[in-house]
Amino acid sequence: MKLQRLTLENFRQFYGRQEIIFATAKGKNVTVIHAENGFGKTALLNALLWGFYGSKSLTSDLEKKDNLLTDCVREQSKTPEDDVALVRITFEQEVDNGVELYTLTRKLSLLQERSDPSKTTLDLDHQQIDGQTLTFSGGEAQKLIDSLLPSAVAPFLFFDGEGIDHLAMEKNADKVREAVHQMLGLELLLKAINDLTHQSVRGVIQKELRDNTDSETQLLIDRREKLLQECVEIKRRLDQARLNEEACAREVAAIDANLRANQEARELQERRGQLEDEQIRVQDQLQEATRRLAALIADDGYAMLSEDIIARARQIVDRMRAEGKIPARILNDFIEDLLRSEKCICGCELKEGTSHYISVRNLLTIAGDQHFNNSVGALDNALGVMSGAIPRARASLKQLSNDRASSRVRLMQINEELADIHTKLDGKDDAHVHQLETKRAEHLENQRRHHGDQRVHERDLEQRNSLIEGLDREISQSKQKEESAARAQSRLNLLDESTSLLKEMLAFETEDLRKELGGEITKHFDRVKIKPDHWLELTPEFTLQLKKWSAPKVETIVAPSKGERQVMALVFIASLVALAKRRSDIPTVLKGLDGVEYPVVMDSPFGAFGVDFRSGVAKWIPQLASQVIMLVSSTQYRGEVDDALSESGRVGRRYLLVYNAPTKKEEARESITIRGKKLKQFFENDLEHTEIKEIELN
Amino acid sequence: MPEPSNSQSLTRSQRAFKSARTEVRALVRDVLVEERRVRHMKRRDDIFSKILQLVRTSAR
Repeated sequence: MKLQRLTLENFRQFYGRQEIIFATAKGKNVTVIHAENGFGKTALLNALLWGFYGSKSLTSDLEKKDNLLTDCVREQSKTPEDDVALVRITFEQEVDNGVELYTLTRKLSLLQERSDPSKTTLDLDHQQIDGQTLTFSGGEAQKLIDSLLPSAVAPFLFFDGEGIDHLAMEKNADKVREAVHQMLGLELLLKAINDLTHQSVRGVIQKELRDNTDSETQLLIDRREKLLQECVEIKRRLDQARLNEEACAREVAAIDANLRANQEARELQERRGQLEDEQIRVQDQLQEATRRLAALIADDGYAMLSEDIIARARQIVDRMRAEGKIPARILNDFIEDLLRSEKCICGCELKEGTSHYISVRNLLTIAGDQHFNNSVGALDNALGVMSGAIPRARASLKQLSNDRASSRVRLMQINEELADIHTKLDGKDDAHVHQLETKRAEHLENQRRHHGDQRVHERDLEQRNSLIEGLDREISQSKQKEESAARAQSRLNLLDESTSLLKEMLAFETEDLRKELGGEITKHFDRVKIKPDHWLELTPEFTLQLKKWSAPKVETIVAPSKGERQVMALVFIASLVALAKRRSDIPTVLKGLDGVEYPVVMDSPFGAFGVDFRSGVAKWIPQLASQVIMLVSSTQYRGEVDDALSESGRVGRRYLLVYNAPTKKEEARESITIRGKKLKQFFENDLEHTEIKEIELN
Repeated sequence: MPEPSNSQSLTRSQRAFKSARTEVRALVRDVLVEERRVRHMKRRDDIFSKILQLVRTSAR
């Protein structure tokens, strides 16, 4: 997108019809608008915002937000329905095979301003590539504008340079993440997640399930739903605790680097590093020994506790063997077969009641059982195995117990030595070391707390998931007989699985883009060349950190000054714009995400910069985006800034805001000198207003 | 959404999509198509009924 033209009519101090044509050429992409403070820079920035998004987007520093019509028009109006404030913006949008043109016109009549200034009229003409023009108005027009330039992105493209220093700091992380999602097309995934989980979708399916089940199952479903909601909240807390722990770990690492770089603390810090490495190793060993011990007790623990029983069983088996009971000399199955067949092996008949029959039947009292024979054989074998396991298990138990004890002793020694190092470092005379050590202890404590929180959340999550699994089984058993309920359950499962997949995809895509954005940030920060030994890093929480090497291989986080923060924010914006431009080249699961060019409009971009930054930033600013519009005061636009921008040859158009009023503001000057040319910027006039004048400088 | 084919050059999100079961893949793909259509609309009643219809068709 490139802004072509801005037309104002009776908007704020811009009386009558005024116009700016923006520089759009590739090699002349910068438009500079010079203005003394109070002459209309902020009003001009707000004219663009109001044009695109209406009154909700006006900046906080704009006074009397409800008064959008020029004062003199308001005061002299006789037909309030006909007197209007108007902003017209013409912009072009590149499409596959050319450029399409859009012209938006937002108006507010004095009559409407008096009743509700937030209600404006909006029209949008869309001139398509084939020359056909489509006209939209009201909500339809706003939808189209939002699709071309999402409102969440606006604060990153239209901004007050002096107020952006907190842009990429911690408190704005959510806004930054949202802008990244919006600018790079991921809000589509976010909206799909929100819609799938919306009451009008999931709630409806959930109700279908409830309506088709008996009251007992409904209770189970309600309980399951409640547990699911709790899981979402616990997962959120778990993720937050994980991020917090990582952030603390980074802080500790940065402090460690600082301590290693410090002459006073180096030796102790290096020893601490060794000890902490060893601590991790010994903790792992202790954990492994404990795991093996648990396995040993589970597998062979019975053998060590069964020694007496094994000995007694052995005695019984031996006695029976000695008595000739095992193995049995004659089996009862054999005797029973003879009696059934009524014939003995000697050939005699075995008729019931005969002496032969009685003699053979009496043999049953001494006959053994085949199953008993087999069982005693197996028992005999098992007793042998168990007896063999006892000494082996005892030896392993002893070894593992010794390992655990020595690991515990070593851990205790390490902890004592670490505590000793902390005391020594904390007690150093060097205030810097003392301060670092105190901070380190705080971060370490927080890190442990967040780590502990994670374990708690993980356990809670596990508990609930297991309850949900149990409920799932109960629910499916109780309602499978009802076809409609089964169908609703299957739909609900499909919804939940799809939502989980979308969430996973969003997390992966966001992280991939964060890395790409980090690459752009490094590139742009190098281009500004304000701090050659520093670099910028984008953390997983989407905040920027300024870092430097405090010693070889030792990186330190630097607390940035206001000027540095402002540069960081500009670099961040430039990187975001650059990433949006090459969006189509970045692999993604979403198809059809085209690269988009965005303009950048900055009020007072050199606000808080010292002399050391001005030149570097001014040289780099033309590369910040494919179109750059700067609103600058004379105090900011001077010397090295003027030289750097002029030398770049990228300034395509310049304008001067000329102020007319009965009396000049005390701090304002009558004229301004730009590139050696003196220009009058104040005129005495009974009618207070600002004029936009194009200036030609060669 | 394209069906990712070459597993070596896939991003993590493409791999996650590919490994989901067929019905889930189809629903996610269809929902995203519908979301694209109403991307910048403030009133979202239509998308809700459209998604409901998709879910009901996917799991009869």
